[in-house]
Amino acid sequence: MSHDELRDSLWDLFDDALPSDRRKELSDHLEACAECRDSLSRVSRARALFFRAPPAVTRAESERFVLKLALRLPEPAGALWWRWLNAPWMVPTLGLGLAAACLSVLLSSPDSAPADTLMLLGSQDRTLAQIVLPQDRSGGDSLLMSQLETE
Amino acid sequence: MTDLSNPDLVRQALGGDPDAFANLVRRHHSDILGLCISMLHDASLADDAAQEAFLKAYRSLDKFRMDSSFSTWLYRIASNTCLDFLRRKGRERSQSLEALQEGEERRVRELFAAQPEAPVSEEDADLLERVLARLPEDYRLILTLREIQGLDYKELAETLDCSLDAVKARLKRARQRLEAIARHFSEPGDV
Repeated sequence: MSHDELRDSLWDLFDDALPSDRRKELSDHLEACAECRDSLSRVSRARALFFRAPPAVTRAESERFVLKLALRLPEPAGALWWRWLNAPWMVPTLGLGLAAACLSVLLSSPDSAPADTLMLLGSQDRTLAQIVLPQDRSGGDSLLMSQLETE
Repeated sequence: MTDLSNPDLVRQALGGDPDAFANLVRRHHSDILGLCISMLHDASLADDAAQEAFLKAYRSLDKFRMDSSFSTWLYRIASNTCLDFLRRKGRERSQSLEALQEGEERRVRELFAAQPEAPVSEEDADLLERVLARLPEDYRLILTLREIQGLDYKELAETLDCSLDAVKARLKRARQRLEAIARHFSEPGDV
C-alpha cells in the first residue's frame, strides 16, 4: 500500500476500526515514516488537549437539574385524564358519584314522568302522588293534582 | 433510579407519568450536559442548552421510534440545540475569532508542548476554546461526540442522521483540520 493510502487510514487507528492485517501494515509504516508519525502525534496531542471529558455530574446536581426542568415542562396532551384515572382517590370518588347519580334518577323520575302516566293512578294511589309530588307545585303539576282530586 | 428500559419509560411518560420522564432525564443528564459543556465551553450556557434539549425531547416524545436508541435520539436533539446555541454565541464572539495576541499564541504553543493531559487553568481553557472555535461547528460536533462521548460510527450515523460513509468522511476531514491547527501551534517560528 502506498504512503498516501496508509496516511489516509492513519486516523482510523483512533477509532480501532482497522482489520488486524491493515493495522500491522500501518504500524510497520509508522516505524519507518517520520512524517506520518509526527502527524499522528500532533493529532493525538490535539485530541488530548481540546477534547477533555467534562467534570462528572453529581447526584445533587442532577436532581437540581430535574427539578428545574420539571417546572418548565408543559402538561402533555392526554396526560391529565390518565393521571386522574390513575389517582388513588378516583375509585371511591367514581363509586360515590355513581351512587349519587342513581339516587338522583330514582328521586327525580316522577318529576319527569308524563302526565298521562300519573293519570293512570287510581284514587288509592293519590297518597303516593302526594308524597312524590310536593304540595306547593305550580303549573302542570298543580293541574295534574287537581285532575287527581276530580277523580 | 428505575431499572425500566428507555422505551418503557417513554411509554409511561407518554401516558402522563411525570416520574417516568424525570427518570429518563436522570439517566441521560450527565451525557447530555457533558456534550453541551464540551460544545459550548460555558457551564451556564451548557446547562441552558441541556434544559432546552430535554424540553424539546419532551415535546416530541411521541415522535420517538421505540425500536431506535433513545440515547442517540437524545444526542441528536442535544447536538442540534448546541449548534443553535453556538450560532447565537458565534454572533457575540466574532471578536474572539480574530488572531490571537502574540502572548496568547505563545501560551497555546506552550500548552501543546506540555503534557496535553495535564489540567489547565480556566484562563488557558478559554484560550483553547478560542483556538477550537476555528474548527467548523459540524467538525467540532463530530469530534466531540466521538472523542468525548465515545460514540461509535453507527451511533454517530444515527445521531447525525447520515450514512456510515458520511460519518467516516466527516471524521477524517475534521481530524485533518485539527491536525492543521495542531501543526500551526507545534511548529516553531509560525507566530
